[in-house]
Amino acid sequence: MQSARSIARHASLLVATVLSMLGLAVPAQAGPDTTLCRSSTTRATIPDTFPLQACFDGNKLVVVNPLGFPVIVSVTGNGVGQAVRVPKLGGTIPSAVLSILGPHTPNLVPPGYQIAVPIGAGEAKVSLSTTPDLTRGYAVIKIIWNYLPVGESAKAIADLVSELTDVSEQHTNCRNTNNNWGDIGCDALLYRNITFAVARAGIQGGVAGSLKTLIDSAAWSNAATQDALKARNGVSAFTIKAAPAPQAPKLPPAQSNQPPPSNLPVVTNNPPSPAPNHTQPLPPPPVTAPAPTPPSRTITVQNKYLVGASGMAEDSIPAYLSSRMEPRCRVNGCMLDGTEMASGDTITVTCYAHGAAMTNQNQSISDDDNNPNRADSSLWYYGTRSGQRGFISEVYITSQHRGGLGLPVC
Amino acid sequence: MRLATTFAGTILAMCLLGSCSGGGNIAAQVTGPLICQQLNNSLTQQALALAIQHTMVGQATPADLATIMTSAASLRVMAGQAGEPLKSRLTDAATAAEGVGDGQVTPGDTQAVADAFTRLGEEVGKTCNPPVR
Repeated sequence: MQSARSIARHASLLVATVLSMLGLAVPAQAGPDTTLCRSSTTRATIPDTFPLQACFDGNKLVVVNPLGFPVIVSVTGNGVGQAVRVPKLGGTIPSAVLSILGPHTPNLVPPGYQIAVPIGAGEAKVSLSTTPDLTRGYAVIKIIWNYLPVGESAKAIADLVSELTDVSEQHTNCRNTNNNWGDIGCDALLYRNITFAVARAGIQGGVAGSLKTLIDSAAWSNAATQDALKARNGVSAFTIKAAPAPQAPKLPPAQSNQPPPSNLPVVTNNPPSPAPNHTQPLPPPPVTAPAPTPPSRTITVQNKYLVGASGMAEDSIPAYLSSRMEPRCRVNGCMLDGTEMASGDTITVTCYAHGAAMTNQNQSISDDDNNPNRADSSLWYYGTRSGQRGFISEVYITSQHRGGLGLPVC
Repeated sequence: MRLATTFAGTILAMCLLGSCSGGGNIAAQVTGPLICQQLNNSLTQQALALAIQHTMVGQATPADLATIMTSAASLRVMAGQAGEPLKSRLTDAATAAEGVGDGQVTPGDTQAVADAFTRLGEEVGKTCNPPVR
């Protein structure tokens, strides 16, 4: 009889083998990572067996996904802010594609990506999860991405992924309810459905065969994905404790018997008391805090696109503010006139929000996929220029001014 | 159930040894388990499945095409031994396999394979109890 340790070892080897066969990374280098932030352990200790790289600096949780599949990092609690996602470990799936994957949240962390989540003073709970659909969608997108026609709309891609997911589910059901002979029919049906789906999406080339191979193994990969988290015997959740309550400033002891500094009589609405032989003490004058100045930052425009493996070039079409957080406002009527900007121009912004995912790369070629200047983000700043107020994607802002800059969410 | 199985197994063993000359009801009783044994030949099934897959994605080798045609012939032999409706299902599957055995796979060929083998699987499931898989 095998020992539990032996079984666990064999399970780990199996998972590693499966992930390797699927071209996925074997989980490695996870847990606390003090290179990600100025680590503070006052409120939280990242478990050593946490499957992702993580760091908490007292105000912000930074998490990087070194795994081979997307993970949803849920952070809940009072004061938890909006996560900001950026590529980190060579993440190569464009943000535009990530938004197709299902949960429209930056808390979805694909392989090689990082999120930073502002943590308030309250307790926050951090947990990891993934879903078969998410894993499958990601795997499908990885395969079809290079086959997509130039200019393919996000909706068309989403439709294709959705159809392929349905096809995959039908195939799984077909195989589950059939014997080996019936499975030959299931496979043929799968191939026919995939062929039709990719043809409808206008995709050519040998992608159907690759997709069939993938979907044939989808049920297996999903199981492996779930097992991968367990196989590490990892802790997939932890809690960030509430910050200690700030100590009240020490006030001088109340001197209620002292006359009010102004020596003015107390004015009340009550009729005079028949024996008011003493004056009542005045309450301390209200302390009025100075009106808070709305936070704002001046950011610098970088209206450039990637060129090749490391270059950048000025975009001949100027950047601009838009009334909606979406691309192509110049032609879709949401560009704010008179707000055109070139690289080096500055703009004052007061908050940020998340909208359409944008990129500064040329998605029709792959030469610039690993350009270190690449920016993919759904974060948009809100600011004012030429008397107009609107949004601008942070991919058109210099890298040092990205990430929200501590501004509030709009 | 145990008695019936033992009886059928005895008859089957006799048939396999060449001493079975029965027909009618007794032949029908032994046809099921015999066909199930043949259908359970995983090597035939797996080879055919793989060859058809290669054909559908345009990666069939001459060996794949030969496997398809050989397997189709086996299906026809089994059809000759089977009773209805399994006989028809096996014949349809053989015909569908032959349709992709030339390496030229049309959408109609793919659909025919899907339909024929799915129905064959259903019928095999009914005939062989417990199911093949």
